Amino acid sequence: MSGGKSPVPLFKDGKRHDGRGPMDLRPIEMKVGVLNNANGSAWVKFGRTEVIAAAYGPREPPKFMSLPDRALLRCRYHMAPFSTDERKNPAPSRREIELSKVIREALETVVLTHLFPRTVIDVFVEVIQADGGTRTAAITAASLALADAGIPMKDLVAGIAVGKVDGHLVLDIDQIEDNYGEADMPVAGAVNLDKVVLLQLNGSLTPEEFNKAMYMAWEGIKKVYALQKKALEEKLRKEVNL
Amino acid sequence: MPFVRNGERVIPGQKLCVIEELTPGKGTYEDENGIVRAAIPGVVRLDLMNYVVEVKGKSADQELPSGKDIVIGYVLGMRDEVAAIKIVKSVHGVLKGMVFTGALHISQASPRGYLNTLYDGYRPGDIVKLKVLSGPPYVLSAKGNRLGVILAHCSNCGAPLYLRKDGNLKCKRCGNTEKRVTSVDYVLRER
Repeated sequence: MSGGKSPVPLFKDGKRHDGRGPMDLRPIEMKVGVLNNANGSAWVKFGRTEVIAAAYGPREPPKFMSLPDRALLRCRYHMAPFSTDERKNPAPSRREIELSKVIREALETVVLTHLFPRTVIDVFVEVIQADGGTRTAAITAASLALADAGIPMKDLVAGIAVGKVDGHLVLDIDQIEDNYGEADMPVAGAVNLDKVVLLQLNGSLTPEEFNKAMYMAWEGIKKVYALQKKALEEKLRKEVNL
Repeated sequence: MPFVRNGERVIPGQKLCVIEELTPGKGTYEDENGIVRAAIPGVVRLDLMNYVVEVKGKSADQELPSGKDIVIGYVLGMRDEVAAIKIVKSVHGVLKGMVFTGALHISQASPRGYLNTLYDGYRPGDIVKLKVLSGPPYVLSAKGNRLGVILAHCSNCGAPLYLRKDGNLKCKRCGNTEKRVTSVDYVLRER
């Protein structure tokens, strides 16, 4: 939400600037086990947003960090310098630090950390290409990477953002809709547990709009979850020793 | 009736059965509503003899060394009474991205006999095969069959040491003789 006027009409004749309807997602692709050196990894693409996540652990933490009753979950969200249209300084920005925290807190609710006391589980998320919705793509990829690493979890986490453009609520907003829209609400949830694990809202929505946005987000999350399930099942099918 | 069939592929969070039907085994958990769900991606195994449901698949807890596992590591550093061992391989294979440190106390350092100091049986850099007593943090022991040093290097010149028939280790490069708590599986032997 940088304000100003959009160079293209954001919502016209029931269609968005890229031809999608309000409830349509961008084309989504997912792959699990893309990195050799990580315990688990995933690649997720939402339209032009591309994210890679790697999970390591449970492994030995620095002594001062270890928790006596559970594993420590660490998360690093990072945008590659080449991921945006202008070079991004690779040093962690305030935004990246915040997103690392919210992603970690969302994942902490589903990872069974009590099974691995005095260890650490690391999740690294690298945004390869950013076109809006990177935090929801990141959390989707991170939960797939954790599942791929065999780290016990209560459920997978899927994320999607709902936005408000030209007074209309739309699902899975991209960069232009995010920049020139009136609101941006990323939501992540655990579908099987029926729980929301991340909810942020940038901009303003009326209570009615909020309810509708939550309904839309949950519908989107269910679709993303179905794709996560498909990606994991594909990986399972390839594994020989099962 | 469980929600899944034997051999079905499941992913984390998927419902398997209710707690009254089967007990949650490996790779599963029971949620707050008494529903047993999968915790890892894998294949369901319904053990109707023992009333256990489990999910077989790649699981982090299966790869971690646990009690009584035999592990291979190297001596990272030591004092007279305790040595820090870097564990690099467990019975399940090389620990990929999961290197752990374990402690070997002098009271557990020798399967037979008594060591005045750990330096009588171990030296930094020695590759050792040990048993896990507990952990993490791992407590290790050399009390057991085939446990002890499986490869050592000369303290003088760094060349590998060969095990002689009298139980001592000899350096073929400089002729130095050293003592270690050697395992039956010591890899280099003098003919």
